[in-house]
Amino acid sequence: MSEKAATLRVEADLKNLARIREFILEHGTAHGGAHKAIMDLITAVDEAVTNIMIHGYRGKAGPVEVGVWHDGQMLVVQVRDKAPPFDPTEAPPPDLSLPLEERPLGGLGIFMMKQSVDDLTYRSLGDGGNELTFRKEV
Amino acid sequence: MEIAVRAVYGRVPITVLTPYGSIDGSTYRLLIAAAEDVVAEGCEALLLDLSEVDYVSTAGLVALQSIAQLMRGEARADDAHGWDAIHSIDRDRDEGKQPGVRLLNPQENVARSLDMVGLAAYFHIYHDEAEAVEAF
Repeated sequence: MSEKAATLRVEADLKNLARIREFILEHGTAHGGAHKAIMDLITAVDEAVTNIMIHGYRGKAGPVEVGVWHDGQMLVVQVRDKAPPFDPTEAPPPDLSLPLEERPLGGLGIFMMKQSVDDLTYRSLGDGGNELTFRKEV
Repeated sequence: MEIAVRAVYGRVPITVLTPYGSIDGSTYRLLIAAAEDVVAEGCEALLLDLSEVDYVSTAGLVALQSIAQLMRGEARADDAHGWDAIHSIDRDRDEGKQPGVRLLNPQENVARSLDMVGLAAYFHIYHDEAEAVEAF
């Protein structure tokens, strides 16, 4: 996590999704930036954290840490968890030329996650858990 | 999330559901439950007023699709699986758009999410309530 980051630590409870969104909005807008771009970033992070809580922790307790900082024109959000390793960046992109009902199953949240940011990277943490870094020009 | 329910009358009786706040992983089931309640009471025309919804995640999008299924009298798909649920839209009816449930006034970012996953093409979307009521 960057030393410049504002950080929020919450339990893996879906009721905390709104708190995470508000946290990113508060710190994302602190230095200006386009509201639409910040909302897109929030959408991506919300989908990731929802997946972590539902599929990663499978409804059990666990920590979710969210860091927010600016890097030039980029707003960066980093999400860390202690759930079993899972790399959403490896999920194949849907073929949008296919009719809706013929697209591969699964991954709606991951699709939204990738569509909504400029860059998404994954790192498996050495002590277990996952780190996702979202970058969006704002 | 609070959800207001009211009735309006066009050519048919219409139920208007107005959710307030965000439809995300923690709230989407409340919206489905509210729709189930009005369907159980005999609602056959449902207008979802999204003007007070500031955020919709994919869970919320799946809720909209689930409500469309409810209005067609079908069992809901497993809403934990995203695309699986959205796949089940009956594209053959009414040129793919849902006749029993229509959307009113989605905010810009909500409309963008609907469009991103292809759901904007499956719902009649209005920006004027009188026009929406007339269309049922």
